[in-house]
Amino acid sequence: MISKERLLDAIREAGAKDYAVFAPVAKDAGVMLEEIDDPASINFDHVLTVNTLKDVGLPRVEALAEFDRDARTMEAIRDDDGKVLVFGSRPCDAAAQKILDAILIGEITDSRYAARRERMVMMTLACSTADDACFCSSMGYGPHDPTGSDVLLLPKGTEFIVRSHTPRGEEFLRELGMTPDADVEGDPPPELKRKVETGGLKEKLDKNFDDPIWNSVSENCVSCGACFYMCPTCHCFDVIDESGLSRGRRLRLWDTCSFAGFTKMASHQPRVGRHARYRQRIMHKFKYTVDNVNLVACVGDGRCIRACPYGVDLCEVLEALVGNE
Amino acid sequence: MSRPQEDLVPRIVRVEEVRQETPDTRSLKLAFDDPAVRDNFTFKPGQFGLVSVFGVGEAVFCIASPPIWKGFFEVSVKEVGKLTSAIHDLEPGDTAGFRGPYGNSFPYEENFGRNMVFVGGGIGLAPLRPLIWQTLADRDKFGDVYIVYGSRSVNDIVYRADLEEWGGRDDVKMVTTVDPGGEDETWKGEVGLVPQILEKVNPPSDSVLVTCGPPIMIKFVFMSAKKLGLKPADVVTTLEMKMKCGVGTCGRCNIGSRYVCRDGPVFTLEQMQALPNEF
Amino acid sequence: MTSNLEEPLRAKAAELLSSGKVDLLIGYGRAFLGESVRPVFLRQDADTAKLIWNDRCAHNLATYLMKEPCLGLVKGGGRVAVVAKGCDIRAIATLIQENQIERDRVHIIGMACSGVRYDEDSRDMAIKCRGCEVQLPALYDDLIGSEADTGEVEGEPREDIERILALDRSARWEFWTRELSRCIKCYACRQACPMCYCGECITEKSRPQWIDKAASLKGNIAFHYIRAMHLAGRCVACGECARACPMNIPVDLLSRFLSRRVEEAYAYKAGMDPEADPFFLVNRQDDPGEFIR
Repeated sequence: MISKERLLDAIREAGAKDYAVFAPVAKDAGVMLEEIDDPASINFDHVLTVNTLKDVGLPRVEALAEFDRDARTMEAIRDDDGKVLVFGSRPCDAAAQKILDAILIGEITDSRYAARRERMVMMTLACSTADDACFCSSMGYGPHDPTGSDVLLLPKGTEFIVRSHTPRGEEFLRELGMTPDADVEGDPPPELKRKVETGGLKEKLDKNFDDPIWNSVSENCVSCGACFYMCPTCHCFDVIDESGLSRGRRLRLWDTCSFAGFTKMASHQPRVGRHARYRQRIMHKFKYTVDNVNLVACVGDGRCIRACPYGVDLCEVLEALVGNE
Repeated sequence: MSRPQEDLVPRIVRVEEVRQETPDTRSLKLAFDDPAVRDNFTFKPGQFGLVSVFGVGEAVFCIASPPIWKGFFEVSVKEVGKLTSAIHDLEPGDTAGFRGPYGNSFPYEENFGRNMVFVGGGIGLAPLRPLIWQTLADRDKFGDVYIVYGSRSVNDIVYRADLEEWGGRDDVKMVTTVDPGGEDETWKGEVGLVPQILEKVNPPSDSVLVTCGPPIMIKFVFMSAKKLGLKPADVVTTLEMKMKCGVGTCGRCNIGSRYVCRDGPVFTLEQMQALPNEF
Repeated sequence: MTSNLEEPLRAKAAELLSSGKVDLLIGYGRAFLGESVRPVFLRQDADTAKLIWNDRCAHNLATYLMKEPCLGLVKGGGRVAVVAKGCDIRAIATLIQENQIERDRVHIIGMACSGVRYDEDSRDMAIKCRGCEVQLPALYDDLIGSEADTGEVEGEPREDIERILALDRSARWEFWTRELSRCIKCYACRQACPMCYCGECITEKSRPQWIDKAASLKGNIAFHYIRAMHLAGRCVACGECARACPMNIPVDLLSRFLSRRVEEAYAYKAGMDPEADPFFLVNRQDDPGEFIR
């Protein structure tokens, strides 16, 4: 067991050992996972950070290369050296990393993402609270689930039980002179109000591409990208050049199937209509990723539900899809 | 099987030659700056790559020359938007970028001994061109070879020199056509839509048919192929979708669970029948 | 807090749907999350039990008029009813002024309003409600409630624009760079805005590329400033852009400020009169700007 004060000391020490430390801190947008200098600023009592670990592993703007048309060069830009400690993200966000790993590291590997993951230590803070949008347990995870965490801290009163779940976690604890706790029970995990039964969903999605239900479940959607950009597993991207310059950078940017331009070609638009774009989002998470890497691309963090300005509620959509004959 | 890591950064190519195919389409002959890359560059007919104009962006084009032509490769570009317009602005000696090859390729060795039918429409002849040249280089390994090529009008015919050479061979049965109204007084070919002409050519039902053209033409060629008694597994096409990464990670070009860049772009009619209608 | 207007609203909605006067009714219904509300789309009178009306009904439902299924329905000769507060009705009036929808295609169910709140824990009314001049709508087909239902809006008066104007230039720049640097370009503000109905937004135009696509400060500033300019004299101050923002950026400050300047210079306020010419279509001989005369 470790007290909060000693934990903050350990994070301070990690900083001294050249770890870049990302942790939750209160900001204008809410509690954000950001790189910090002073562990004293870390926030412990939020449900979830507004942003996700994508800001560490798959940032919203990433320079891929620098070009110079006159000099005839296109040089790759890499910024993936150095160690990173991600402290205090929640179990759902850690689980999301495992899903992104399965998609982006494998037969075809996104070398930049892989390099960032390689240097990332995940020290996750198990949840003591949940809100109305949390439904991680329905996705097979839970408020104290260790999936994706190297080290999991379980709250017990005002202190934390330290659990290591990977060799990297063990090595990290050794580096900081911490020891994992065995045989100690933490506080019970919070009860989740949201539950969604997804049995049979995949079988439904295998067959319901042309079902009119996609019109009704997407009716509230206004085709913004809030749910995508807040989602810890949505990872689609665009590649663009800084415009009109003979010297500039090639950038990778977040992009989303919510936007009509996502699939629009000069000659052809294969995906027409808001319902079709919303269907792509659901299919991608609950069918296509299952077909390709045998994982559902949703961890039940509920950010899409919280972020939606018009009340599109993923749990209700899933229930409607499961219940639809 | 492990594929190379992908860092999404193109290699530098030089424009060696620009050929005006039609009023809106140009072919570019490109060569890698780096001699080692140039000499080791291999690909298969049907594969594609991304051409970059620095400061504008990059987009997907099929490689339009056969791998047996060494030291350079070609792409054919129809001007339809910002990037294609920037590619049309390139002149011999100019710099561009290229990454690839990506994607699967046309079935080849498994078709040795078969009759081959190539059906192209407009600029859709581009992906078939490397396969046709490759097939003709291995001519004795195949049965009969048919080429049906159609364009909207006489002015929209691409690869005229190639067509002339293919048409002049006595081991190739080639028919060219233009859409009704697209002919002029010098036109000696057929007048009619590609699927109708294909049915008129009437290749044997045990042929392998490879087609590319506008999406609507492909759909009608499929119907003609069915009428001609071809098996769906022997009807092959290559699909075009918007792509950004080329390797299956940017999430853009999927049709159902299949990514056109990674699992395609070449699909058989049999495979396409199992996909949702979103292409 | 439920309102005594809920029952009359349901009765009116049932009447409109059962009589066939409207084909679709957009109103507010319950959402699971935090006892909040969300838009609901009703097509038959049996559904009207889903309608609710309370002080959480903040959304401006007029934004759906410019999206499917409303667009197709109206094009095919159908009629859409919208449950609308005074501020929302200003948006509908602007759409009518701008020839985006014909007056007789939209059935306005005006609601007497005493302010809305965004957050169940918040005691205060949404900041957009402070100083509201349209608690009792003037333009409607049916009015639910009366003067008696327009309680006073609680909370300090709205002075957010004044606070920024009081800053010197460098402090103002610092404020905006701080706010806009965290924009992630999800375009929730644009998609939520009833006035942002362009088929192709300038952000999507590539020949030329007017706005840097990246969600970095330069591209973010370009997007939000240009959007604000497009909303000058059109913004009805419904606050949906700011409410929709997942990064909590007060984007409405920009368009509200420009609309205020238009009001000061031209005595024109968007959406107060559906018969009026849209501000940008009027060229007056006494225009205070010299360049235009």
